[in-house]
Amino acid sequence: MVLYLTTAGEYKLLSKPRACSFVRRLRDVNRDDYMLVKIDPPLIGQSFGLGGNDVTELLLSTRHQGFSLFPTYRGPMEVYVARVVDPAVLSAESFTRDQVQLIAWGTVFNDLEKATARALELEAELI
Amino acid sequence: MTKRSTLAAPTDFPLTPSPMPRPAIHRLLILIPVLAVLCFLVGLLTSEPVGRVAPNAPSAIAPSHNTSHLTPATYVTYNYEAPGQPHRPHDTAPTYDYEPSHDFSGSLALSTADSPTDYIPSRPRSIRPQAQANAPNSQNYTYDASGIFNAAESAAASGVKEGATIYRVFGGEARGLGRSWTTVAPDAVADFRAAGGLFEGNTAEYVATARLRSLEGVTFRTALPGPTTPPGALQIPELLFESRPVPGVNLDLLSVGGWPH
Repeated sequence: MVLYLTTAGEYKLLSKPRACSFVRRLRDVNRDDYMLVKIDPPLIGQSFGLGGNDVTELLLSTRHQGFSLFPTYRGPMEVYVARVVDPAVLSAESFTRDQVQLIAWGTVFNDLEKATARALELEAELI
Repeated sequence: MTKRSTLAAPTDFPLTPSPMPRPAIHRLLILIPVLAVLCFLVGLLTSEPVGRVAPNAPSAIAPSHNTSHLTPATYVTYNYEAPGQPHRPHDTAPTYDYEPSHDFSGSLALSTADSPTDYIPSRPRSIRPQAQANAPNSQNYTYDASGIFNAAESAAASGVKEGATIYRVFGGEARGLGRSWTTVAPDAVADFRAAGGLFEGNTAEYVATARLRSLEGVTFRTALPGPTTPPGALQIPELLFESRPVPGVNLDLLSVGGWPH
């Protein structure tokens, strides 16, 4: 399953849609439907103090009651976008809030064209 | 040998009739005030009260709990039915059907106020759980056109009205006129960053206050905890505009100020 993420209108660095490939489902103390994804293209790591190391994985979860990324895609959904701070999360089944960093709000689509159109629409409003 | 009495006083008295025998009428005079007191006490127990409680008097319908400590935002007025007959002490206690005339929901009620001049709390520390539970129809799930379970609903269906006061905390990466607003005053929440699931790029330096002008293209949703939300943190409702709201069209900006104050 491939989703397309854009944070247009809220967070500039991820405005351009990223393809998100499912890696693992994770949980924390609050919920069990976090989706660890590998993103393409990667997110430049400099803004996070990572130097030349880009961010290649993100942790996605829906922002509203009644919506979940599991078991299947159900249309465009508003999501929390977090990056993994502790590499141990990449091979774990659960995590704590100190191991990740909430970096943006975004929207996921199952279609690149729809994601791009939405990103352009929201960015145009900011001009 | 003759026994002698050791008592100092003589033990035998002459039994002679009283020179002034008490007449029966005198005994009756003593009983009259006693009977009068008894009658008075019996009368107090069986008669109706002197000052009868008016059927609609506030004291007759006041809820058992003390409402004097409630703030104006949480105080409710009660509708009640006056009984057909006056209250009597030995009648069955009258029952009053009263219920809140407004569905105020604590601090959340501020968001659905019809006027920005409605009560605004000074700085309550947190929203009470009851207020969260009474968030406008947040549990009224619907199904979209394709039959997919959908918790989002139109703002109109949620009970949020045009003219409601809405808020947005922003700064840094988060712009002032973003799509996401809330009906909860940021000052009313102890940890608004957690409750709103704000991302780190949102420096939360400012708060915009606006009056909702139109419900078109607005959905009402209740937030889920995010990956950095502390366990048990309050999750606030969200008004999500389909597109970036335009002042004068979707909302009227009332103020933009520094936050926290």
